[in-house]
Amino acid sequence: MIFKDSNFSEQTAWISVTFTVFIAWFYANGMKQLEGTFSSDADQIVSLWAQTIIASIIFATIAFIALAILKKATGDDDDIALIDERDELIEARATRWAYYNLSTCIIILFFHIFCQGIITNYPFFPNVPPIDFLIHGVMFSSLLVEFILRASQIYRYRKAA
Amino acid sequence: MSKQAKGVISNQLRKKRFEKDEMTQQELAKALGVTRQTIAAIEAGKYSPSLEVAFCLSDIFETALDELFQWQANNSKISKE
Repeated sequence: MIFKDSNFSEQTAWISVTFTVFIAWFYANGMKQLEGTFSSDADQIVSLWAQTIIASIIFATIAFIALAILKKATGDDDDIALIDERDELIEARATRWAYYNLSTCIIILFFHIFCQGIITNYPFFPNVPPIDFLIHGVMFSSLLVEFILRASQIYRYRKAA
Repeated sequence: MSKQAKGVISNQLRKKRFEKDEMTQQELAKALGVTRQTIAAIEAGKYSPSLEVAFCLSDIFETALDELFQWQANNSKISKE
């Protein structure tokens, strides 16, 4: 079992990884339903953003409450409110790695928009307006960074340091 | 540019635990205010605790810090500017 010999922080990281994948799927699915895959209708995009954020909050809340109840029921609840120095160290290292990736994603997004503005017949996503690309790009970058953050935490917990 | 010292920290935590009425990892974790997984990681030599935790361990086992933790340097040059 993946939760064997793991503390509450690692278990929440597993849940976060799972819901990040689910939210990415949810957002991608919502994007497909927008007219012509990408839509420049600001209301539709804002609505999709709101739905995605609300869905992620609901999913995370339910999952974390269920985990806490399960741990309480099994008498394994000593570490629910406990974050020790190792947890903090692992989170700090994972956060540093995740934010390197976030910086890279933001640079790529703006580089793409810059290239689209100055290069005629730019080959990548030629039919997507820059603002739409930026909005969807920011959402996917955030999800990717969240995934990297939690996956990196799990890796370090499994590696033990 | 400073060069960090490289070496291996070993410990006698497991031995000391058993000498202290076969104290469990969970009991030690509770006494220290850390998770059981952290104690397991320290014992396995995969995580080096902070000085605060190391001193607390030394208090709990009523032993000197250098009896509990040993340092084996990989090279003699500890730090170089």
